[in-house]
Amino acid sequence: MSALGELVHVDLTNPALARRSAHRRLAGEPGVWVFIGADMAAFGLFFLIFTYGRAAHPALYEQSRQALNPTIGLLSTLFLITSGWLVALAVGAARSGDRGPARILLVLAMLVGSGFAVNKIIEYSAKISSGITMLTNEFFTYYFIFTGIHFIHFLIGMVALAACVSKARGEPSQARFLTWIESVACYWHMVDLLWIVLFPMLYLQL
Amino acid sequence: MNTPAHPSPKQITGVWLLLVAATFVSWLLIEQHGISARIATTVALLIAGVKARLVLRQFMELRTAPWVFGALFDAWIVVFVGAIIAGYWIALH
Amino acid sequence: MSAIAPDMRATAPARPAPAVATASPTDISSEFNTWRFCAWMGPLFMAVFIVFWGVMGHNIPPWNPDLPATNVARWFRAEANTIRLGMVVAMTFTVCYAVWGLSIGRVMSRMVSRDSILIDLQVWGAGLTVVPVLVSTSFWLAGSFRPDALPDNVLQLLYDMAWLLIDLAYSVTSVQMFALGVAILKDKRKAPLIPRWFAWYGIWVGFMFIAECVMPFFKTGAFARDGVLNFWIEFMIWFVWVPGLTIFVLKAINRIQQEEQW
Repeated sequence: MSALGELVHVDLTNPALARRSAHRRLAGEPGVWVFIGADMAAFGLFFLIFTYGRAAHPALYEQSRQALNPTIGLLSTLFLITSGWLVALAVGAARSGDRGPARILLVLAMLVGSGFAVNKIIEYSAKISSGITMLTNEFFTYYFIFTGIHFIHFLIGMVALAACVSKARGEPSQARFLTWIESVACYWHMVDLLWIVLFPMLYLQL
Repeated sequence: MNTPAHPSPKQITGVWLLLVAATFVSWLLIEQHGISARIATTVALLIAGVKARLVLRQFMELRTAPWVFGALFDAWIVVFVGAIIAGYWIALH
Repeated sequence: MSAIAPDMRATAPARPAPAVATASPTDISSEFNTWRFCAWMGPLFMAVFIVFWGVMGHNIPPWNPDLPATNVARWFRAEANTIRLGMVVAMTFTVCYAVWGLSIGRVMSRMVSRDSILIDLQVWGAGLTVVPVLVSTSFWLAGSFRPDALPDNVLQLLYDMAWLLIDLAYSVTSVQMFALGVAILKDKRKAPLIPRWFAWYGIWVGFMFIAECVMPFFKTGAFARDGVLNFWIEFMIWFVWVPGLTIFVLKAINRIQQEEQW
């Protein structure tokens, strides 16, 4: 097993290791964490770019921020957090072998998640119809593009959740299904976590 | 196995409630006009860091992953949420 | 003849047939060497591209789009020969990217079934990537051909055209990356020919390219063609993908040679 492989997955077929180790492993398929790490690095860079811009033009950013509605931001956050909760429960059900409940929880997670989408579309439409676009000023460039890229991540996550729903019924192998649902769950939680930072950064900096 | 490998539904729900509460607190801090803007903003950002860590460690299960990953993502929070906070304070001057 | 032919086609083996009985070990060895040579064409393309297109063509980073046309025009006129040389060499070696793609495709045939459409998608993705690179380099070349006879804003247009094409053609390269990524993830070997984490990196890069869609809307800042996101990040993540993948491809070819030639 490669050195990195040892780092991410202790081989429990070795009895000595099984006794000694607390079975530390990354949830889901290890490779997905490369995707997660890269995405978080990219968004980290987005945060830096925004912060730099804000430090250079604080009055502009504060004035623009006032066009945002923190209550809408709050709603978005609650939708994603709740959807994440349901996905975490679904993973738990999957681990106990309860495919039926897991499937229902995933569907519920998607339903709640679609609340985020509806909320976001309402928010974007309101901005655009009042003449605010990504070309309005630097704040709104970052607002639209960073939340937009986040929204694309969200959409990909919804597709991945849908795939999980279908696999809950269609994937006979428990090991393979678990890898799937754990990996998708980790990605979905990342989408949630990125919004957790985006929300105060964009909406709540007075 | 002495370490609980996976969070129970109760734990998961507890984390969710914490996250929801923390979200309301940060929103209230900003909407409430009695609190100093600087304190409200800084606390809201710190809360974001705590929420992010909760998601990473509990939902994404870094708590039971090899420690190096927990450390890496803790560093991410410190660096990037820290930078937002630092930038906020720099902008005040 | 026609009575036998359909049956023979139906029983054609899915895996690569064992070496033809009459081919000598040297012939087979030489096939693998040719294959490895093709894999090396990827890093060769990258190195040439960076020096000749990038440095000599003043494309790392490109001219900021907000600059007045006279700046770009002055550069075309003053550096005409450097630009011409840079572009002709870059254009000559662009095809190496497609050759490299074919060597990757052949490795893919050992990860998934030999007639998997994923192989075609990767090969086409790599091949089609050649097109915007060739065409855009020809625009820079055109600007350097008789810059004194052209007005400043025409020279500016040629430079802009080249960048708009090379940036917005990203999805052909994304197809290459996605197809390869999926194939790597479908590899059923215990120790995959190309590591799974690298598949995820490639898939991520393929997605990240989408940020180029906002490039035409901005003349300054992070999203402009010379911006920290749309130039530095986007190009660097691609620049490292090529040699990184090649290392794994070469290792895979060696492994395949060991497995199939004994």
